[in-house]
Amino acid sequence: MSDLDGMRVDWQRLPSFEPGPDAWSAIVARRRGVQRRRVLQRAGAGSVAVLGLAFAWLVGIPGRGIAPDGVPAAGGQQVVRSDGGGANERARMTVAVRQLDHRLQAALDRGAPAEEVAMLKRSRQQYVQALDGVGAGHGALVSL
Amino acid sequence: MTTVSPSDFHTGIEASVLLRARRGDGEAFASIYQQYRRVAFNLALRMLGDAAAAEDVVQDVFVRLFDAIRGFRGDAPFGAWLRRLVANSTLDELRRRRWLDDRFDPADSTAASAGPTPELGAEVWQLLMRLPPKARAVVVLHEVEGYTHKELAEWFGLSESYSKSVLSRSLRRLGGSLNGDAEAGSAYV
Repeated sequence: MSDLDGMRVDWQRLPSFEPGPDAWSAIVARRRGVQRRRVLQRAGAGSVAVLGLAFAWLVGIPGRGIAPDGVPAAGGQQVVRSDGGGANERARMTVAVRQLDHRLQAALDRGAPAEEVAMLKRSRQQYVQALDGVGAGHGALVSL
Repeated sequence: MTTVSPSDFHTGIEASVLLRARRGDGEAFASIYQQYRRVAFNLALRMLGDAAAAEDVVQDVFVRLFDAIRGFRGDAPFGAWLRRLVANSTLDELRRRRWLDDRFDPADSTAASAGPTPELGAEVWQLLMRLPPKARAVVVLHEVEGYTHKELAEWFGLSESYSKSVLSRSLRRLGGSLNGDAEAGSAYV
């Protein structure tokens, strides 16, 4: 209640209106738009993360060219490189080859039995052939 | 169709509906919208004086409510919490339009001219629409919704006395302009 120069106004008597009949469907549509944008943003962020990891492995940032004993790769060792295509599959294969390289190097260093070395070489060869199948360059990190 | 009724954000909400809404149940949100759509729209409309802008604000509030409801702790009744969301969003819209600036000239706005024409309570409505936006917001929030000047001062980022002076000055000016106005009639008691 307000006093306007001696006249009293009851603001509680303000009229009440109905919102438009399509308001709820507009809200639902806007909500779906928000959700869609979020999914796209998450997918975008996920893709960037996957590509980043794949790139990191391909250029060998984690232990690139480093033998298990901590000595940087050199001489006859080669470094896995990629032209960047088919990143996910090649990255997985490259990781497997690299792990086998490390195991093989460790086996050679400790003078492991010939059977074990041969088995690791066969496994590595299988991955190398598979890697050839997806079109990436590769190379041994092991001084054989 | 229009009716004359006080603001009613005080009606409660079933705990089960609230729980379902928090889990993202669309039907629960639809139920909440049905319950509060009218009071939310009228609060925004009274402050803005523009039906399209009020609809937009209310839609925005309910879109955000899908996420915001998880932050509702239940310290205050749900209606009071929702009312604050609507009032805040409407004040944001007034700020975005620069209608809260002291130098704002009401003649520059589309407010009041873009509002609906009521069948009932037309005189009170016209009085409200004659106020500049800041005064209108203060009248609606203080006189209709019952917020204190202290709360308004926090909202507007001004002193409590400034909020009081905006209200009294606006009402005095409105009263002055009504003197000799033959339209006075049933709005006054």
